[in-house]
Amino acid sequence: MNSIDAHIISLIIFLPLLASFVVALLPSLRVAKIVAFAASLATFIASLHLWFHFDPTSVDLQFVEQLPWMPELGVSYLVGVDGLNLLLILLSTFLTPLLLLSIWEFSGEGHKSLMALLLVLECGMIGALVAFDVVLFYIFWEVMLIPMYFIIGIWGGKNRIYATTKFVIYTVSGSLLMLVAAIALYFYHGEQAGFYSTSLLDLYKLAAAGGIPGEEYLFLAFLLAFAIKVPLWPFHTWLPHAHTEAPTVGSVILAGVLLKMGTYGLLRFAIPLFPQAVLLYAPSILALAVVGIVYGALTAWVQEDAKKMVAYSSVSHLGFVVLGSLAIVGNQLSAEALTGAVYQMINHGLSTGALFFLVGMIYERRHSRMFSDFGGLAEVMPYFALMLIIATLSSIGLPGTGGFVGEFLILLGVFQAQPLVAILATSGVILGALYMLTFCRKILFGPITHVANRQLVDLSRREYLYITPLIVLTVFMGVFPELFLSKIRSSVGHLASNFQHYHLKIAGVHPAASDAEPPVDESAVIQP
Amino acid sequence: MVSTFTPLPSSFYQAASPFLVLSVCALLILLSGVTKLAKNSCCIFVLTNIAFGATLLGVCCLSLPGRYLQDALVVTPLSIFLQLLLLGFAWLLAILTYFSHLRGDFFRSELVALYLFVLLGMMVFSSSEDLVSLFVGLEISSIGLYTLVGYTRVTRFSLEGGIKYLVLGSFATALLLFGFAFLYAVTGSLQLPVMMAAIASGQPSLWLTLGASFTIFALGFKLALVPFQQWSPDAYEGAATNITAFMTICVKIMVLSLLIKILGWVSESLGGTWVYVLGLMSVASMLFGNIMALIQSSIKRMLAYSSIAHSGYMAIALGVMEPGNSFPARALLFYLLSYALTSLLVFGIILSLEHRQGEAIQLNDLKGLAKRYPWLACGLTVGMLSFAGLPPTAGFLGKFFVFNAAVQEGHFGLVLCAVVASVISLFYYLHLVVMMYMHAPGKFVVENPNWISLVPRGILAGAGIGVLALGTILPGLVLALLQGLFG
Amino acid sequence: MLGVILLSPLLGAVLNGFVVPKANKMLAHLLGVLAIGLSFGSALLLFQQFLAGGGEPSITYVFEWIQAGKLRVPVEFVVDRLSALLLLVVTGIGMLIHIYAGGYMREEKTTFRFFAYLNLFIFMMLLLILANNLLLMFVGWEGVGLCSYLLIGYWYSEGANADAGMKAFLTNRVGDFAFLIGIFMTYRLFGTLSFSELRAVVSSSASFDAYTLQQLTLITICFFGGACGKSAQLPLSIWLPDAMAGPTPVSALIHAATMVTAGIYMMTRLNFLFYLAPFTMEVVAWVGAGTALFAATIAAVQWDIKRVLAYSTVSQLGYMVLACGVGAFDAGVFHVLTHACFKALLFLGAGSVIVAMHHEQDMRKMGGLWRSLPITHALMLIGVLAIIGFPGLAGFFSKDEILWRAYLYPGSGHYLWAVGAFTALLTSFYMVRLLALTFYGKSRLDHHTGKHLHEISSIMWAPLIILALLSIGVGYLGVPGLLAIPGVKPHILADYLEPIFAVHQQVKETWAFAGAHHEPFWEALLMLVSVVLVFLGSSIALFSYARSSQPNLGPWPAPGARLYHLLSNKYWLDELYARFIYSPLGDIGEFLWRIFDIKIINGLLNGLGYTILGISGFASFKMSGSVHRHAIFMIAGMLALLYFLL
Repeated sequence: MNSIDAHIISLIIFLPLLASFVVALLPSLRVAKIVAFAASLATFIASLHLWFHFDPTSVDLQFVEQLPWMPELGVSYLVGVDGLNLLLILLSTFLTPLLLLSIWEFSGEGHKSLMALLLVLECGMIGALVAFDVVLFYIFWEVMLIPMYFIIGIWGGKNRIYATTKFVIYTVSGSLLMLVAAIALYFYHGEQAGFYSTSLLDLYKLAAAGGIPGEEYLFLAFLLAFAIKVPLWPFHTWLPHAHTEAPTVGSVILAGVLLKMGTYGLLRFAIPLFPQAVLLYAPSILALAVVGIVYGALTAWVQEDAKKMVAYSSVSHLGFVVLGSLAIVGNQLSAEALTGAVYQMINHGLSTGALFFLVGMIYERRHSRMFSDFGGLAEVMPYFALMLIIATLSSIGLPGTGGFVGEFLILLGVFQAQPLVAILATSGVILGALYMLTFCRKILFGPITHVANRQLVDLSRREYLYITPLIVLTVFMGVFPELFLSKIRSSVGHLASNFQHYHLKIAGVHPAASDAEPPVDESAVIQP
Repeated sequence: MVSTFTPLPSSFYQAASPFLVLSVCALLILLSGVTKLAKNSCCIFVLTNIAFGATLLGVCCLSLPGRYLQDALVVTPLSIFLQLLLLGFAWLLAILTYFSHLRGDFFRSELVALYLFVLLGMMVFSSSEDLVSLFVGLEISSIGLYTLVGYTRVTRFSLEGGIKYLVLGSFATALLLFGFAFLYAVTGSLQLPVMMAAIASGQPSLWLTLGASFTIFALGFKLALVPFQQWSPDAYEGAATNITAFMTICVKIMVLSLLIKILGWVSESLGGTWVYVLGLMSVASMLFGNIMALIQSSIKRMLAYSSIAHSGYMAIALGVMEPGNSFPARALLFYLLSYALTSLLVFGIILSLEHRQGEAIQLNDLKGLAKRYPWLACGLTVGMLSFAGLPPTAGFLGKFFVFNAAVQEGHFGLVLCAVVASVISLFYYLHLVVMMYMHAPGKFVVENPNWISLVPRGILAGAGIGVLALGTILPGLVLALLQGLFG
Repeated sequence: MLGVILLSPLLGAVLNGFVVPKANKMLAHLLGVLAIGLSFGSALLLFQQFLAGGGEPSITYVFEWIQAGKLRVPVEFVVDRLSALLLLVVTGIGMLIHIYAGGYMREEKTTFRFFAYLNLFIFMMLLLILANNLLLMFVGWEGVGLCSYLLIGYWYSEGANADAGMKAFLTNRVGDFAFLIGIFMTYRLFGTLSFSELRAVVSSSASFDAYTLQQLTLITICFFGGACGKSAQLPLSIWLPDAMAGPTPVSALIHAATMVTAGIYMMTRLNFLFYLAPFTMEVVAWVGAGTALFAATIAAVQWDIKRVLAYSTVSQLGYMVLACGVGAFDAGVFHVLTHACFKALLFLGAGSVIVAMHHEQDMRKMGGLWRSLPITHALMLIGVLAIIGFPGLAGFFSKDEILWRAYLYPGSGHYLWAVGAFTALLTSFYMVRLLALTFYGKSRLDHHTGKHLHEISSIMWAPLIILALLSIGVGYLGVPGLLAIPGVKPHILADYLEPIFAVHQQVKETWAFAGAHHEPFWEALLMLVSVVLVFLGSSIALFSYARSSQPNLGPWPAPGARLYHLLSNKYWLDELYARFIYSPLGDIGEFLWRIFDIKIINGLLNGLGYTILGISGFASFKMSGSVHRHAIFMIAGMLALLYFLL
């Protein structure tokens, strides 16, 4: 691995962080805006480097960086990229420049701090995605939370305080349980393997060696933390509040990437670490996911507030992703469903991100999100109507858009595992069309009832700049999915086929070495 | 029988030099009160700086490890580290007070002398392993603190706090003496190591349990653990902010220095029930502290309850100590360090925000602080995040290590209560952040913003960066350092 | 060649939609027609190979679409006799309608949008026809549904049109739901989705065990569900009449000629599966017959000219499905062909009448137009004669073929034939009624429209002439063996399509086939009966509606009044669906959101928060107070702890 590859990930993580400090300290707003945008663009280009140099055939971890952080406890700064998190990293680095662009002419005060917080958020997201050490993952998981708390809290809507406090407390209580479970796992691994390490690669070996006593409780703790984040059905009530109160830019990034942390966490931590518990609880989680799909769709249909509707639609869409990641055929996960789940995460990010941007645009114009205030906008804003229709079609999952590929693969895979569940979930396809088309019908079609709607001006050049990439990419992902699927296929296949004795090793390091010599030197280890 | 007077070895003078220097300087400051120099607080400030500097020099270079005066004075790397902590934080607090509205009230010669004597008492306590000198050290510091709590004399409330602290404190001291007496009766010697050996070898007897428990309860009082916590809210709110800060930080360091040494042995010999009792006390104080802090309106009272909660978290690590494994002790010290640093940051900011009359800042006074003083608000937010235990800050790692220690012993119940308590604590810590960032600015205005001159600003920034760095970059280093302390 | 066929409509759509200057209506029309003309030309060339009798089916691989786990879905197109034929129909009829639409949409201001959608529709339809695997066909399938949604709701400023569009899309989506389940089952059973591989697996395996047969029945039922959604069969037929909200060329192209026949095309493409599932075939046959009868009865009482035609389309589709049900897929395709011609002719004719009458569609305000609209009247006459099965025209041959093959169907063949024949009677009644109400009898025009009545421009009746010629000529592709017409080989189309159908020998004997020699006597008799029925129906219609005196414009006289009321309310099907599916869903949604979400889950969480606040309030009240209370508390606490220790 040449020198760039050795440091590319740390660059991608800490460049936004550095940029956020610079932006916060810069006196002039204009310079700050340019610096912020340039930094996020640079991060995106760096992540493109990851995309081009990623070797899709190998199953191992690539671009790995390992530094001893707390050798005392076996905690190390271990980051890497494989098929599962490559696309999500690209999604987050792709969305952030668009976000910064969307608040270019931000009228409210505290513009600089908003940009700084967004950059810190990006650093947290990418950190959480690439972390292969449980403690490091947890730290980035919470670092991601704090900027979101401030974004919703400071620039949010009317009762933003209730929404943001509920969001943080709900997520932190879930993740604290996960922390305790992680520590218990860490100690059990210590006794079993002789050396203490929190790196995921070693913990995977533990799971592969054989079940952990009390594995169900650990799995439930992890599951709870991720279920709150996904949000899985009974834990979803924070999402509509958070979305309606968050500013447009907050909703986009929350729906775009933060929700995916939950499902990504399931794939990276919960499933490979506790295979026996997964076999035990998979049916009940599938049931929750299906209920989530139908529940989200029905409640989305009766909403009067556009943002709440899109929020509930996210509950429904992510129900699909959870469905896809837990479709167990025989003693393996179904590779089709898992590929579909990973793919759907990206699609949902793009289509819901686009929907929130569009709702944000009409909110900026009419300062209202209620359907009753709109109607017949297609007359006045034809290009806006075109964008909204394409985004809606992608979120319905019409063939030719990315949504279809993801949803089809998931349903296909789940059908092999549990036909009845698949049939119920496929009904979500109809309900999806129902509430999304009602959404279009109420906003775009019908006569123009409000006189204010007549003078609405169509998309400005800047608004084009940050909405078209999303729309074009959604359609592109629907027509040429192979470009993306080829990158994730081998890793997903590896997870699917042997999720019961899952093992990952660092690319380039031949297995013999990494097994014998534990990453942490023996001497500094505390005696149990 | 006549005890022959054996001349003290020269190494004793070297070891005792910090104590001697500190007491001489304190006396000098006291005497300076007579001359007209005392009117000028700046000159007293210079004298205090000299005192602190000299003592620090004494501790760092002159003291050589060894046991003197039948363990009355024991110098070990651990005790040096604790003394450095005490001196460091006391000094920073003195500097911050000088640059705050309390300069006139505090920097009178007798108060500063008292402040230094209390510090002397704490240093003696933390570096001795003989029951008598322990008691002497504790008494010097406690009595000094009783008066310092009420020195502002302005608000009726501070006097009341001082009196309450005095009455309950004396009750605790009596308890301690009682405990020491029993211990001495059972083990027949005053030196701690000898006692520990006797306890370990002998079978547990009623008197032994009584003696040990009384001692622990008295120290529990000092830490404000649950059954003995009620004095702290009134005392903290009554005292001036710098004394409150001094109490939360230095008293804890002092008490924990002893608990670290003896708890290993006590729980070993007294068996399982002891761990159960300490666990109970820690859970009770965590839950009590956090729940009570939810509805407080004044910041200092809220921070008082939060300090009870933090004592509870530290007590978890105390509960799981055993002689062989030194990890819980190191986790405790790390937690202590992060807690002290965060308290310095938070109280420093409150100090610079306070008015002349010094009545306590209410929570809704802080509305919209972020708009007017963004950097103070940012510092306070970092402090709150660290208290709440959210990751990028030192508070998280402190909690993480303590949880680590507890889970190692399999105390899942304890850890789950700690999780519930910290979720509750999240609410009122973030409530403060909500006030600062998410509300329109109220009528509150800082009396004299120019107080926040360069030096305190530097200290606060240093503390803030320290909290963040400890949470992210430094832990490996600090843990290695602590590892060194325990050999 | 294939690229030109597929890409030119897409290119046309993109150019019209984004590139071409919006205002220029002429350019938009020209571009639209050119794109489809190009495609039609190359389709003709393609058809040449197959005409000469040879032409093996050729599969062209384009690129890898989806690959995940064991699933491999390439973008592959198949050109064989069936798809070449339908290519011809779609592009041919499409081009004619595009030419006609230019005139029809003259006074519209956003015609570029109309032609963009129309071209996109043609592209999606071609994708559906040429797809070589189920998933690619599904892409075309939903794409076509999308275009029909956009085109029905073309005049979206009128709320009702947008709702009609949505209703069409949702009903199609229900059909697609069944189609998807079918696809999943096929993948689970066979492991592949490509038609050629499926066909190879089915024909190569010697016999099928019970499980496979049971699975096959389920698969075919699901596929038939999909076909019902798209071809508006009984359970999902509610959307087609409302689809008339769109402009008439749209109704002509999408809701008469091409899209609605997609269901039949899919069944024909998967005939090797359907043949293996006799139970499904029975269901298909009866649903087809039922829908035909159901729609014909309603059409008899409709007063809106386009609705009559809409219900007649549903009825004719019922015939085609009936044909598929009885195993006569070639007869079904033949009827698709003929129906495309004369139904497009009828719709465009009706369109001309509507344009002439300034968008008046109610027949009660028409009458006696044959003098002022001679050309339209002549063309409509040919169309009506063709559809009712007047001997010699297209309808006669294709409908009789279906009725005959239904009769031969073992088991319930006779009853199917009876239903079909009665529907033929009804068809002739309502079609001639339409003709009589619009063109014959006393003119009921109000003064204003009467004055401005004008014949349609040449650009509109030119395509109509071609369609009329087709309606006459196409019939001779399937002349039954009985009527030895000189110079015309019988069953040309049946022989042409023969290689498409591969009946597995395990079920060979159950199906009756064209050309199988049965007693010619019965065939002749049935033909005679249907001709008599045709004349009977038309004479009743002429008698009651074409007389010069005031025709009966209200409900039927005494005995039929209640029946009339039932029919005019379309058997209350829409209301039933609304009450039993639409509103309950809404109520569940409301309940889930208002009660479950806000009250229960949120209530629980907020409750938890408030209880903790309550505890702290209570505790702080207890705790404040004097020193001695604290001391007592301390001692009590200490004693409790000691108790544990000792």
